[in-house]
Amino acid sequence: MSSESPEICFREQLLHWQESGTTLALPDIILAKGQSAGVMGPSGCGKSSWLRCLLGEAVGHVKLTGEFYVRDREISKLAIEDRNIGILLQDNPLFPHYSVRKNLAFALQKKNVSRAEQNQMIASQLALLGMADFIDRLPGQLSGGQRARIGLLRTVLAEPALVLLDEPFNALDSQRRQQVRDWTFAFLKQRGISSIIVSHQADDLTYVDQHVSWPEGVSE
Amino acid sequence: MIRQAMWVLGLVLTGGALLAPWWFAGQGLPMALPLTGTGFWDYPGIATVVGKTLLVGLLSSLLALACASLIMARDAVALNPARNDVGITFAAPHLAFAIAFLWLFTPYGWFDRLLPFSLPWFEQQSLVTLITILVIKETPFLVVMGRQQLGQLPYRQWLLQGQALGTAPDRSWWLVVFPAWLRAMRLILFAVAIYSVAVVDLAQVAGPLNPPLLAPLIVSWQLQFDAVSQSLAAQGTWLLIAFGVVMVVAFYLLERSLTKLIGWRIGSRVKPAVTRIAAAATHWFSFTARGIFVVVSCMALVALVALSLGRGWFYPQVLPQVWNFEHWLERSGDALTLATTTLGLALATATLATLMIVWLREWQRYRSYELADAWLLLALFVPQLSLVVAWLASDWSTFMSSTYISVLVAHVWFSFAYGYLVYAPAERAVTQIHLSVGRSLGYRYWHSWWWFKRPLLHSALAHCFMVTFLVSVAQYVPTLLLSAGRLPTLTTELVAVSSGGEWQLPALYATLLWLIAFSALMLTQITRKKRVLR
Repeated sequence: MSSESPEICFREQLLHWQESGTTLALPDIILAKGQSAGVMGPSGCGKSSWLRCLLGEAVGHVKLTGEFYVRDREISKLAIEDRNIGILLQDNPLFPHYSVRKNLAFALQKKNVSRAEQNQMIASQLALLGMADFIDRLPGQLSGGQRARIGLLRTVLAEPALVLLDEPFNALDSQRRQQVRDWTFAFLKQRGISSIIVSHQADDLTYVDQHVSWPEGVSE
Repeated sequence: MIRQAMWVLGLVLTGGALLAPWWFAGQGLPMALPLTGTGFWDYPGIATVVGKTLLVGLLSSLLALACASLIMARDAVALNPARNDVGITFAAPHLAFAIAFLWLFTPYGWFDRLLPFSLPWFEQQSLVTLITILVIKETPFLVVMGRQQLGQLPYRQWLLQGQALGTAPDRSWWLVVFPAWLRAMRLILFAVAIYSVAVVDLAQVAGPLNPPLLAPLIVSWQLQFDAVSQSLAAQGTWLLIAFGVVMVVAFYLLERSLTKLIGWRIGSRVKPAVTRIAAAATHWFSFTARGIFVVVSCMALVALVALSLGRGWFYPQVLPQVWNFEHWLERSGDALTLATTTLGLALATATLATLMIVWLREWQRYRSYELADAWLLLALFVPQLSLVVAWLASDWSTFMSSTYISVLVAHVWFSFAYGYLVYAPAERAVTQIHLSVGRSLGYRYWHSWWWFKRPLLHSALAHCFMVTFLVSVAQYVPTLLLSAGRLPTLTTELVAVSSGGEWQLPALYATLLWLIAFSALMLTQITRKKRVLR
């Protein structure tokens, strides 16, 4: 692939259900740095399974085949930790028994920096979010919106090329949902991180650059 | 009105059965503290007794925790974790296993005859032998309980998140899941550590002599009726309680230190090669440990059967001169009586304990009030011997109408805590909505429980029944001391006949004991499988 190649390139994707033997042909997803794609579809159509396959998780009942390039690297055979893909799940995004500081430090291990530098980095990032005072709190002491923001910050601090968001705003009430959604897309765009979001709510996909329709028909 | 009365009646019966033993313990606990000047510390070899007892308690529990953690580490990251790998070792009664272990591995034992060299590690009665047997027996218990506790944590999600942040799954286990798992295992670890420091039957059979460990020493003092021995037993009881406290403090500090240490490692970079080597080492250890447990347990069972059937099996012969059932036929009368008593007690214990546990869980749900587990498991946090010695000095025997009832109550009381450990987490994970829907359809509370909630708890109920059954089968101290030897079971008789040089009779009793325990395990598995197939 050339130097101008896209950041993310998923092509000829086939999602195969092992038990029923059915196969779904999914549209190509090609994203430049910082671009986002939104996928909407009814519950139970396989969106979350597809995301987990992209992440590299072995999902028992489905199999995903195709070409999967992240920053020009074919990722199909790589382990989850080597794919350069982050994920934000809908609930419990943080490790509940570790403080905000430790949760964020978890994402910094690849950087090979001293503990003092790590602490400085964490403090400055939290200050940018206006959450500097929350550094030693446990996730259980944060509101749903605060947890969602720390969860995304942790994902982003690991510097992935792509972030997968699986119904990330479901646990929030409608007012908080809108705030966190606006902030999430702005945050990812500002950091130049591509993203794919799946949701069953059209509002969640307002800011995405590409809308991907989940196919209704089933092919062989 | 009648329904309310039923709840009150259940509360009185269950509450009474759980609280009365504490009242008797408080009444009978001898106020004879082992202070300086009381003569307790002048007992010959007491310093060695103290040192060895603490060493056995700490070392065996620590090693069992280390083994169980490594097995759990592999389990957690495996896609299809093993489930029944340690079942045979878990179900093996401690004492039966110990008898077989001694016959296989000690000098003049089977391996000593088979191999051209001697196995230098295991003496017939030594610290190393006792610690090894305790580790082999306690690790499967921790693994079985650990799997249940792990099932309550969203550990797969945590591992996935760890991986998505660039951490290999094996490292994610140690950094994220292990501290939470260790915290969830706290009460179970306390129970194991206290059991190890206060173990009587295994220590009598495989532990050191001259001087022995503290718990068997207290039993020997208790069984002598002179005033000096009784005073020593009373003071020893307090020392054993203090050792229990030492174990709790030690394991609490260990948990805190490990958690702190692991917390410090978060954010540190580790070379991928190191992670890979560590993962491979964990995998190798887990595989080997499981293999050792299964192989040693199978060998132990075969050895027991062979010992009970072989005649003229003199050193250094690898095989006996004759195989026959003569010994079984000669001893069938005694053995059958002992087996019947053991089985009867275990069935009655398991039934009563399971009913009490189910009732207590439902009462908490009904009242929307959750009792702290620590209160209900308190029986596991005090050395069993100290409690039984206290009961002997109280009105316990006056209150109980017969020896059988006295022993049965003690069995139910000690089994309750283990059963609760098994049943409560599973029950908590089941939604109450089905029961409520049943009631909305016009079913009464327990009718609805039976038809709508019980099927969801079938596996947990079977498991609870099996565990309480196994605990009863293994009871030695309460059976021996509360019945004053008038209600012999396979376990009490096995200890009694193991002190001699003869192997055949202990092997016969141990085989029977194992068969009873193994039948319970098999029945539980079959019942669970049938349920799944329906």
